[in-house]
Amino acid sequence: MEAKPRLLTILDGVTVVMLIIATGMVFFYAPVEAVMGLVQKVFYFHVAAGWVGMLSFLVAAGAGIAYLWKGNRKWDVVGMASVELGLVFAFINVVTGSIWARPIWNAWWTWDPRLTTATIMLLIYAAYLMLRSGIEDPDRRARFGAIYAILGFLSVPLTFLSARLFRGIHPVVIGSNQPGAEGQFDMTALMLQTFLFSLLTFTIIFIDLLWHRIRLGRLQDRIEQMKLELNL
Amino acid sequence: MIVENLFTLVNSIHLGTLLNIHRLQEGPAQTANYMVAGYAVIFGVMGLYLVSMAVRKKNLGRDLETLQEIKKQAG
Amino acid sequence: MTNSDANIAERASRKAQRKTTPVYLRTVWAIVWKDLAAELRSRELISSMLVFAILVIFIFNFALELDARARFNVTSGVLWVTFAFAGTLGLNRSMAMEKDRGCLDGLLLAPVDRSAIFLGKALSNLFFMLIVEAIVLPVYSLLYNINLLHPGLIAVVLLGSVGYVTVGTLLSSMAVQTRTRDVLLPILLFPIVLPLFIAAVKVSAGFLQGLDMSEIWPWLNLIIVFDLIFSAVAIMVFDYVVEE
Repeated sequence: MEAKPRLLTILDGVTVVMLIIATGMVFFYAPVEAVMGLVQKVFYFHVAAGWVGMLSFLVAAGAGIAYLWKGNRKWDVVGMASVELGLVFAFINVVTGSIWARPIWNAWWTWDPRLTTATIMLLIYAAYLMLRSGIEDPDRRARFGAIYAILGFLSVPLTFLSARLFRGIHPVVIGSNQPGAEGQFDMTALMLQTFLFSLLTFTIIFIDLLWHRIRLGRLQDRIEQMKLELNL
Repeated sequence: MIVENLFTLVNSIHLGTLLNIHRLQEGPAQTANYMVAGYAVIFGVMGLYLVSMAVRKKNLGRDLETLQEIKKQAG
Repeated sequence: MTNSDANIAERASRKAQRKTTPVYLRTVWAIVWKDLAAELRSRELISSMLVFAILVIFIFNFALELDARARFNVTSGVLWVTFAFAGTLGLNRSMAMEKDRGCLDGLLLAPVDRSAIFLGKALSNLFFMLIVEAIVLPVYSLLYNINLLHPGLIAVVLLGSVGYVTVGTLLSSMAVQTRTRDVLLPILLFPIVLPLFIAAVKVSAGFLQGLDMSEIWPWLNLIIVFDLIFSAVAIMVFDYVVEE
């Protein structure tokens, strides 16, 4: 097995420390929101997970283009790793959003543009994995995966746009102020700091996990290769 | 025995007290349960994913060893 | 016998090369012509799509109790769900036939541009879908005594089908090369075409309810953008779907 790079060990340490600090900030540093109460604290990691879900979509599509262009197998490993992480974080995003929505909107689910888009993203990730699992030839699997990642990446913004043309009730915490959105709140300075730090932390977590997952993918590739050589 | 004690201990901790946010009834909505559920999901899912990666890595490592042995015997 | 369709295509393209029209267009036409000829002989694709589409409408009729008021709201949705389901059926069948008869391999051996093969398949799929729609629309009008033959509605059916068939042809040519085959196509296709579907339903409803054009245009633009983006990308990536 390849030796673990020093930098990765350091990154692991940084990730753990940052996650601890971010968790601490969420619970002890950021004030409790005046109307919604404690559940608002879900917001920090909820948005951060959603951001990572989108980021992995971008990485997967980028890796897809790189693979089709260069034909280097390493890009396929990156794409696959990214989709898997995206699935995990998009899932966290949707479920925590639903938990937040229950006390605030009084429903587990609403057909809001962001909810809809996040869930469609989740379904596209799942479809990607199902597509790959049905193909044995590693080369074809890589090509089809790359194509589907690109298609999904192009379609999701259009889904968001079309869902948005229906009027939404999701609070727009950052950017435009949409009056009447239930669950809207103004971030205080402490909240903003916590929020930004959570975003940074989750980005680092993403990089760290992606690296680990790529190493795992490479190991998988190597074993597949050896099996072929030994005619197993 | 110990587990039971631990359980009562955990149950007796009131989250509001722990986080020092006792307020009057007109304060923020009582939504601590939802927060706990939310963070349980966040850390639970991330933990599960880490475990799954570790398990896969262990299995692959074993596969690799077996394959290398076969290769040595064959060559 | 196994690839008689490929023979037809080959003969057609060889005959075509003797004339002066560009080879590319001849290839596209040869593939479309091959599909139409095969369909004319067997009639299995259009007939199964059509029967299925009518059945879906009947099921909706009882599932939703399509009385006059409900119809006003849900007609466009019912229509597009019908088209989408019948469309997947047709796409699956059309690609599976290519694959099973070894026809796809025959086509790929031919020294022609791969994107011409894609365009040919997409055009013939589009043709089948439009025929089904051209029958379903008057039948629905007849069954429910409303006039669906509105020029705006026909335009959106056309535009929507173009996008649906483009993505569908690409994805079905991928799906037939997997183990799970026909099960996979809707799972791959529906999340991708969702924005097109939403927009198509909205535009159709807009025309049927006589909304102002200013309310319809944003959705119509979305359909056009979808069609353009995905046709371009599909033509670009099809090479990699059929690469050996």
